[in-house]
Amino acid sequence: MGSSEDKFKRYIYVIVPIEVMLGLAYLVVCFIAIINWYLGIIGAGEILYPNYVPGDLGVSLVMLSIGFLMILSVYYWFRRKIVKSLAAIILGLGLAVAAMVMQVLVTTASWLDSIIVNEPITYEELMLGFLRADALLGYIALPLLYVSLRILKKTIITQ
Amino acid sequence: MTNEDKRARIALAGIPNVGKSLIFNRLTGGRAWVGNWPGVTVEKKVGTLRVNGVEVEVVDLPGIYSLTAYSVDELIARNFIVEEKPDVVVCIVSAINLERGLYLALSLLELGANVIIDLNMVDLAEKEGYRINHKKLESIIGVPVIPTIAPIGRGIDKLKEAIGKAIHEEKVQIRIVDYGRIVEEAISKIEEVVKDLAPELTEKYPARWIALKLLEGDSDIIDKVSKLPVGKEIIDKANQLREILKEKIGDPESYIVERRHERVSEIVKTVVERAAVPRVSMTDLLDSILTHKVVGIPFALSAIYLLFRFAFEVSTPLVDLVDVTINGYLHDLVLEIHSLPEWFTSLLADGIIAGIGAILVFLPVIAFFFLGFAVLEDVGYMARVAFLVDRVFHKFNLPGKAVIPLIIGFGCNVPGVMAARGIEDENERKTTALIAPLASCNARLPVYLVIGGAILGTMAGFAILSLYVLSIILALIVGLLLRRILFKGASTGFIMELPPYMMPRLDNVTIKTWERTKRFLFKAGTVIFLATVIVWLLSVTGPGGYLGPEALEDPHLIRESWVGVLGRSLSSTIFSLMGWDWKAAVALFFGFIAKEIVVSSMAILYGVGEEKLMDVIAESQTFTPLTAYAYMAFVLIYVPCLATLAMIRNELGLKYAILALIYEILLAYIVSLSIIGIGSVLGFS
Repeated sequence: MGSSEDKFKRYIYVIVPIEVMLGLAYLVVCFIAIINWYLGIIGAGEILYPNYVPGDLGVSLVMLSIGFLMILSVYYWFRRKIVKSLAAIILGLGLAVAAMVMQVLVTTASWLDSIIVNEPITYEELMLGFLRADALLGYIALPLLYVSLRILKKTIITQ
Repeated sequence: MTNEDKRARIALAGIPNVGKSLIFNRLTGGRAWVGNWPGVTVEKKVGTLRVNGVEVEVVDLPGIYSLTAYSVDELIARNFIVEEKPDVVVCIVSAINLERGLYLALSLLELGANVIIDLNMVDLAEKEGYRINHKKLESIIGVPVIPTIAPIGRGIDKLKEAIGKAIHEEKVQIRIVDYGRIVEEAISKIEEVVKDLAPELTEKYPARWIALKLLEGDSDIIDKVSKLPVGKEIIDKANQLREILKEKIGDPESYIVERRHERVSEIVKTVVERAAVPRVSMTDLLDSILTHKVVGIPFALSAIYLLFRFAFEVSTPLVDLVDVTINGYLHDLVLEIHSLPEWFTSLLADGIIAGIGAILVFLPVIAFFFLGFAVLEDVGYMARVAFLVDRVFHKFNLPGKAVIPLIIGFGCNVPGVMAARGIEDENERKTTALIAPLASCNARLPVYLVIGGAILGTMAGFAILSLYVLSIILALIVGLLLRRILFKGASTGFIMELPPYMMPRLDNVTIKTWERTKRFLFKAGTVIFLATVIVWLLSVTGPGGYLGPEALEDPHLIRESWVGVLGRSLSSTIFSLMGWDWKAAVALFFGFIAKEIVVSSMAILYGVGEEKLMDVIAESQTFTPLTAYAYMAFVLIYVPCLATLAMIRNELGLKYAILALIYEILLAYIVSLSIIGIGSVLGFS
């Protein structure tokens, strides 16, 4: 019991600061996505970081949810609501990974589509799809989710 | 050893499901003789154990919770302990159900048994996030407490060792439960009477225990005491004291049981040490956020957004594959067949293939949507979404479960209506089935994309999003009205079971996806096939007779077709206030068959392929931004397609199918006219 508690404490010391940083990064991306969406609506032409952040309200909603959950996990942790804090960590990271997987799938689908309609997509275009902010941040979230699930299953999750 | 000259005997006692049989097998090596307890058909299992070279008989008592006279098992157990006087009674207590186990242990101690407590399943308790300080427990109750994990045999040797030691020790009477001054005085008085009048009884039973049982009104003990020559005197004294106690503390039996439970709770509080880190199941962990009335909402919206992204964007290659194959390869192939009559080639290529092709391109979108939906359902998440919206839906007198038909309705209204079957209350089910067609299904999307893209430009995305929001708002308002006017009654509480989260099963997901998608395929193969033939036929013929396939490419000629006549009469009458041209009006007429046909009809009427339709509409100045948005709203609301109407008739009856038809037309008209009216007042064009 002692060793699993120690393992859990070490995990928390590492994950909490990462959650703060990652959560803030997601909130920044959300903010830029909203600005880009607005710039798109008013037809301003130039948008911010066009290759990395789309002007899409849906994407901004997902980024907001992820950032919110990650920051919430830290808030709950300091309020000593451990179960809620861990749930927010898992769900924030899970949603981040889901958003990343979706972006990878969409990019792969675009590549397949370009072959079907015979409009070849360039390597750069393809890579930009894989390097969009939601995908990039998701790549960071993936190992964190894996490690979190492994540790939590060993320490606090009973099934 | 208490019985030097005979073989030692121990008994195993415990409440059901504490691992007693496993402990019995661990102690005896699994070798047992099975028979029945005397006079009853309750199984008696006996085995042997060797401790320090001494053979010990191990008797497995029936699973019991206490030692009352109310159950046969409990009587067997206590009679065995009293009559046979085993040298040791091993009370197996589950660490994850400590209170109930300790209650039995205290009952055994009061009976005067030489008890050892086997604290089993300590590993499970630790997994649950607490541990039991067995040393502290030992010091409180004064008997050995041995922690064990029976499945892996941990602690069994220590248990054997403790048994060996206890067999050689005299048992000590321990008073663990203090019943309070009034009851204790009564117990002492009866004890004195029993000791004085029936000393032979106290050789068998502890005097305190007899006193307690008499005060409790235990029928078995009363019966035994009554049979003694001095029995009446003892019983009279006990009854007299019972009456006094009744006045002071109420029913003595309930009071004694209560005090015993209180004592057990005190002990449990003292010996249980909660871990700093709690133990929870994955389902409880996730539900602490996912079912939270505020925090759960952004997650639900994000999950639904990702579902739509999966449906619309990941399916793109398949959409284009279908498009290239049917509208490109197959269409061109038919046109190259010169041996067929010109009209038949036109019917095949411009009517059937163009019409059905325009619909089948949405098949991958719909299949992907239902695939994603089935995964969320199988994981157990959709039940949480229903739980989340339950509070909001209740304000509109709808159950939370109504959200499932509405979400499915965003894919296709037909399975959406069908999904209302899951609602138990009839009035709520009917209401939900009637509002499900208001969910903006995938079939409406091509209309939004074509009209919005052509007229609203950069605002198209926002306009389309607003239509999805409008569909939800309308569904809730119409639901409320239906519940107030037609289907009255209070909204039922949330009675949906929240299943544990689990990995989706491939077979489940595949079957659900196929069942829902095949309805769309069936619709394309029947209703839409027929509709495209009718649209083509009415487009190449008119009051003047056969116009020929040329009409499809000549805007002036098509005005003279039946479609042209119908469209002009609709635009000059019903839709005169809307400002839509006759082609847009007649496309709505055919859209009654299926919403997808609005776009394919427009493509036929404007004499272009779908890829050029947006450009033609943008150039034709058929719509202003305001009338275009009103048109899109009309498409969202007006009549559910034929297949949906047929499903409503199947589910609710013809009367309700007609009701859906009428209310949706009226609502579409009112909303569209309001958009144009309010928009004009606000200065939009």
